[in-house]
Amino acid sequence: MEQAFIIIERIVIYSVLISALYALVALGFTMIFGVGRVLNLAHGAFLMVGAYTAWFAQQYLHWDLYSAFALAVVVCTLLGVLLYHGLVRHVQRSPIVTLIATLACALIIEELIKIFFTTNTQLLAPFVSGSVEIHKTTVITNRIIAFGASWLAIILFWLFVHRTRWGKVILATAQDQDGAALVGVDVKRVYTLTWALSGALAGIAGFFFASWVKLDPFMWRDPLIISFAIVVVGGLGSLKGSIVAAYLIGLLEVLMTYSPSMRICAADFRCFEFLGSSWVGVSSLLVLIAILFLKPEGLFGRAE
Amino acid sequence: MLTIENLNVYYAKAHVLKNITVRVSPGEFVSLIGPNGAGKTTLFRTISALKEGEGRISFNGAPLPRDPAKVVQLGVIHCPEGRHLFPEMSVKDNLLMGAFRLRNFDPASELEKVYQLFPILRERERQLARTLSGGEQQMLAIGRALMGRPELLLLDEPTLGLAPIVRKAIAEALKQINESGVTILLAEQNVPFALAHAHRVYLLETGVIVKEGTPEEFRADAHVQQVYLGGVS
Repeated sequence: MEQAFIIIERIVIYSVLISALYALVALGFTMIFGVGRVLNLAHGAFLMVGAYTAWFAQQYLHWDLYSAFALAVVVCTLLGVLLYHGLVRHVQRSPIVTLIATLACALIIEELIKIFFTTNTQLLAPFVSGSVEIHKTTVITNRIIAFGASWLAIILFWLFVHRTRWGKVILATAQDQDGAALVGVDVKRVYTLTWALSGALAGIAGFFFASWVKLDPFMWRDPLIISFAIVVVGGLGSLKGSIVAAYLIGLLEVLMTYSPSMRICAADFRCFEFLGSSWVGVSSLLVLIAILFLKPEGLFGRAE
Repeated sequence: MLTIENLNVYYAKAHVLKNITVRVSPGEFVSLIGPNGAGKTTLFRTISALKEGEGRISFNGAPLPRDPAKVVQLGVIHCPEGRHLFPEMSVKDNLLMGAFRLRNFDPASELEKVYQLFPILRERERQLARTLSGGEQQMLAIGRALMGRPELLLLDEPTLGLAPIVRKAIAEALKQINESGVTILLAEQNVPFALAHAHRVYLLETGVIVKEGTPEEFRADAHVQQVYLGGVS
């Protein structure tokens, strides 16, 4: 019985921690869709650039972790502005072309990282090393830092959007672009600001995501899939929906890790696992498909 | 004040506005009437730089910039068909967004002016725009445009789909707005409404200005009577 309580406690703690990071990972993605109706498939690659920038600054420039973090945020902010002005602005009218173009960007970034840093996995030093005991659960301290930083970034972002003049301008543009233009908002400037913010958030998320996993040129795929699932499940463009969906998907993934797996073997003795930790990545996609069937606009989205 | 000369506008290969020439003088109330699809909305979108056009559009003697934000800065405020409100923002926030370009303004006194014109908006101040009725949304759209302190107010189909009692309230408000010194260019399919307070009227059919005159001249015109006033003189 006590063992069951310990497992439940671990599931709760781990899912609360990872979900905050997932919410941060999806934040920039949902903002770009909410304001410009653009699905930025390069979002995961932005995170990867943030992670590699911090690692490079640490490893080769011998910068301290705080400076490396700041550099990652600056580089990703500039990358967001560059991608918008260099590409998205010119193809934005066609959602299909935009999807293909941003996916191509992600693949180019992947190839460039392979060229410059090889496919070897790398490790980003944590802000704080070691672990702490929460009741009977051992938690890596850096993950608690990532949790706190994620929530801090989410709360600051929310305050910016709802309490500042430019935040309200972003909200207004997201709700009606022509309406915003007709009250004198420079819509292109709002898009630039949105892409810069999305890049900055990706830089922050990439840094903490990298401290959770390892760095390699393929690491952009998971955050992109997570962002996509969270944003569709929560409702495209809904910040509240993204946070709820992040917690739903985070909980499901941790539950899957702790669920008993079934080993099914065919007559030729080839076996596969059903459920269990190898199904972690599948769970978010299953939720995504279920939501598309049951509530296509997402949990907090509005039918357009 | 506003001078449009030989304006041509295209959607792909479709020539939707043909050699349009329109003049609006300071303090005037000018109505632009015509059937659905005549090009009224396109003309307004072109004036406010949401659509490209070929020809001359000038305001107070200078060419009107081809950037919507700069057009608003000059005091040309467009209250569009379909209202284009911010549905998830409160009535008050929608109104304050209308004053986005203004510097050194007192929000309370500007809001008060709008609330005096449309008292229902004061009662709905905290409600989200999407929860308002059609008539209240239209009042909010006009109120938001007024918050930008317009010199010239472009009103596109403000009575579309509204009940007669709401139309009457809006007509009364437009009269007051014009009397306060704001020049109005109104696009309307509802011809009796458009003629009621206008000083001059243009008739736009299939992208061409086919008639210009006073409301009295329009009421006396056989074609206008037959097509737009249901044969009633």
